[in-house]
Amino acid sequence: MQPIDKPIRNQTASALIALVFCILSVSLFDPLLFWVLLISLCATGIRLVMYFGWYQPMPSLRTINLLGVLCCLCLGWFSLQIGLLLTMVNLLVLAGALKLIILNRPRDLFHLFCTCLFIIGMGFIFHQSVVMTLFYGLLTLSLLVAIGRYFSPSQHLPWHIKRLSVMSLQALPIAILLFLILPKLPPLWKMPVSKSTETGLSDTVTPGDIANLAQSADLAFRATFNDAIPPAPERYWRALTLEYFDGRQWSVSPLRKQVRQQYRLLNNEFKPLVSGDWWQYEVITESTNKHWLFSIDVGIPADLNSSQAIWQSRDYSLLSETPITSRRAYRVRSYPGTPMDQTLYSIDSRMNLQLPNNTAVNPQTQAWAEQLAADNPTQIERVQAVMDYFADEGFRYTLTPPPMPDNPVDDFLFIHREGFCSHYASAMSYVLRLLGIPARMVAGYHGGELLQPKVLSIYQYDAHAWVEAWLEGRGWVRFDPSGVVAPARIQLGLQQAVDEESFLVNNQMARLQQIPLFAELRNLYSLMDYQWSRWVLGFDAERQQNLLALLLGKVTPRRIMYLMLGICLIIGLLLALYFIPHWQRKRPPANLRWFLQATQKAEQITGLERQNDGPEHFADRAARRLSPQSASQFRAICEAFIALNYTRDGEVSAQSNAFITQCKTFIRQAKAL
Amino acid sequence: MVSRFKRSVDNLHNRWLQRRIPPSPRYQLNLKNVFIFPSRFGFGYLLTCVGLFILGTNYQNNLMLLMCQFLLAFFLLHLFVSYRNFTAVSVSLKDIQPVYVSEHALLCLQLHVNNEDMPFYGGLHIQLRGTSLALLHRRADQDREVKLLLPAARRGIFRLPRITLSSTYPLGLFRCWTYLDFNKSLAIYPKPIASALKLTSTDASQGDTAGNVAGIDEFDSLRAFKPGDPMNRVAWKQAAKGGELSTKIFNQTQQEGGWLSLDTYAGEPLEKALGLLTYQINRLSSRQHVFGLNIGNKRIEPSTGEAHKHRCLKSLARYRQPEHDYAAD
Repeated sequence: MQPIDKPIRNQTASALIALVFCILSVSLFDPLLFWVLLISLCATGIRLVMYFGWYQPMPSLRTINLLGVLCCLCLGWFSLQIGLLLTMVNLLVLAGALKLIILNRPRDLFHLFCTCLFIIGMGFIFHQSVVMTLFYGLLTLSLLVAIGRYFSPSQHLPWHIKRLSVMSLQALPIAILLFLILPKLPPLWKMPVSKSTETGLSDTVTPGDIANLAQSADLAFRATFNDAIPPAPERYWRALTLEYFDGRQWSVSPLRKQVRQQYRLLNNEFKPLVSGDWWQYEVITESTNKHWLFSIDVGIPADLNSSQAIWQSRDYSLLSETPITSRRAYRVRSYPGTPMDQTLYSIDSRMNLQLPNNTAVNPQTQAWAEQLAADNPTQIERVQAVMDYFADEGFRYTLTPPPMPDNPVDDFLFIHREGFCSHYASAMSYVLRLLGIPARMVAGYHGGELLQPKVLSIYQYDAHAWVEAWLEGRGWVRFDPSGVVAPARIQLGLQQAVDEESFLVNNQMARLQQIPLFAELRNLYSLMDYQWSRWVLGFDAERQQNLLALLLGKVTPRRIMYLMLGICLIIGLLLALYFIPHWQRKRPPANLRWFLQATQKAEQITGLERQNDGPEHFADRAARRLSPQSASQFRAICEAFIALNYTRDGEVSAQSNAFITQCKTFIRQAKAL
Repeated sequence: MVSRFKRSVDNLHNRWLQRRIPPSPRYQLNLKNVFIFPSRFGFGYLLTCVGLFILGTNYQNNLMLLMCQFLLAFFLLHLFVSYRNFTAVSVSLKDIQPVYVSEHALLCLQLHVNNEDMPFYGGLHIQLRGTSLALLHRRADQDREVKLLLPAARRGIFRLPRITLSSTYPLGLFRCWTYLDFNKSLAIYPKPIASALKLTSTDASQGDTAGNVAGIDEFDSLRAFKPGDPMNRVAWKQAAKGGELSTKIFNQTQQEGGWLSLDTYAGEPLEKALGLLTYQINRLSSRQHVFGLNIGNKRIEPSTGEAHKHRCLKSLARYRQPEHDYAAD
């Protein structure tokens, strides 16, 4: 008599929520610690075993509490390595797993439900693609089904799925309205960000690094231009400048970091004077977990929103205020004609004439530089001499240069003479410094694939490095030795510059995409992904302002108020549509509808009004004015109608069809006398 | 002090309910008598939404915000779905059968779906207001009735307090509830205590008349069975031998004017005396004897039959026991 009130054992709700939890934790494979994942899998197993009734007794609360304390200690230990955010995610999953084991009372089920919802929310930090969004949407739906199943256990699972899907579909338009209209707030406070999974460029470059990056076909960012897009050779996307060289690798100068810090403290942002033509575009960058942003020189933030989120550094690079942990959109205007001579020469030259402390490395290069200096008195001549050396001495552009561990620049310049862009940039910068010209390596991307007429996709294999040298009277000037060695790299892109065979050689998946069909699919997916990032992920306060302006004309508080009222009204109407049953009033049955039509036709022809006559009576009256054939037809219709509607059920459908045909014939053929 | 304040608030609430939901034998649930408010779980859900909103805002993550807004929209829809589901039924209460002390009375609420196209789903929680008696029937939509057992601790005629009926369909985020007063009372008879019959004659002043009692079970004659005759009077022995069904007639001449009286047990404690009387009333009625009841100032004229039995038992239950609200203790 007493219904079982515990969500355990045979309750589908518990098994369902266990499965959802399991799938959820597996989907967070990257951020989760392995042992946490293992515990959550075990918890699912235990719950399923209980559901099927193979083993009934539950672990006692004390056991679980002990396990919880142990796990917390473990997690505390690991938290030093993985950072606050990941610790939080792990803690949440852990809590969910332990709750799943002792799931016994309805309250536990509700707690687990809320925890799972929150974990799904956390999942969006790590996954934002369309596919994953759909996937998490399905998981949310399954969670709702699990809870629904608990509250009305007498209905079947498919019934719940249908019901809650309908409810979710009904909720979706309201959610979208809210999403479009509710103001987008700036971050309330600084959140911890995950330390791991840095992708793309790093702030220390050994010449081989960028070549490794070139093996990756992952998206780096996309740029959507307002008007024209720059021609292919101009697409130098600056990310960061590397100004410290230790003889082997280049890194961001500590001095530069110090200077930047001081300017930040003084809140003295770099505002270069810009002039000439410009390109305006929006960049949607993938997550890098780094601060730097991508822009063509000289880029400045294009609107207030972007300028709040961006710090302009005095090395002409743009830095985000918060690390890019998820896709982010910002708008930039680039003035390619602006001379880059607006920074302090004293500071820049101090950083960019720096030479490795260890003079024993690369001795040959140092000697060669002395020779060059003696031969070429002016700066321009010296730079030209270096470039000519690359052009004339049989250098080869390749993704797979031989290793050069000891004297990398010497080996590269004088022995192997083959390398990737970073080898060239590294060697040239070093030589220029030896020649007394301030020079630095700039890391970024070059190129981009046209996704749509005004949209460029830039992939990781577009990573590039080039050289900037300070020439007197001109400021920083860009030199790209790779362009001299392999003009195709600059004109057409990496794929054309290196031989097809070696392109993406280690990346089978990416190579598969070179097949036309896959390329097509990939293109389609890119397009969808692009629209998704642009309109959903990139729907920020700026976009919202634009939308409001589009809707309201001018954005005034009064109009905003009207809009809010309008939205409330629309939501009210939607609810009315869902819940007021009038619109779903039943249509009269088909035979009545056809009978009425036939009667109407008879009225039309005879000029009589049926008023409230019964069918037979009206048939008698109408017969006098109808042609004999029509009269008999009409009479038959009336009798059939009475037979259909006022006798008992039985074979109604077949007769009904015949009746409708009868009516149709009459309506077509009826004639007056 | 606190308890007095609580009582006065309770009184105010009751009076307000009396006006808002007047007693009725059958309720159509509608705007007037249904209350709806987020449940504890609902508030937890909202808290989760707030958490997601803060997280989404701080990470500037649109998907989290979208999810949060979806959950809020779902919450809003849930309000309407809950309400529509709950108001799809009308509720009536089956008559409560009288019970004896230490038995259980059965409260049976029946649900009638107004429109089969829009049936009622989910479980129902039923509670007797002001008592700790409550039950969650999770398959109420299937059974279309909800039963609650009421322990009968004391004899008396009790007014049934309002019944709180609540539903949390579909996801428990909202609780819809109503307080229903079916204006029914619950009769709890004294517990029968077996004893020998003690009938007094018509004239109570004549003293001990126990001698007359011996004759009441005397067999008189047989007559042909007529439909409607009680089964325990059928002469089964004769029937088993292959004869016609016949009914035994007992000599009733001596039974006329038999009286049961509380005064007979003046020496016993009151509750025991009432228990003894209860037993005798049951025994006499089951044999279709004519008897009357003298209890305190009240006199019930001799008669027979079920109605008479219940009248007598009710007067026993009511004896020196003012009518008040049912309480579970």
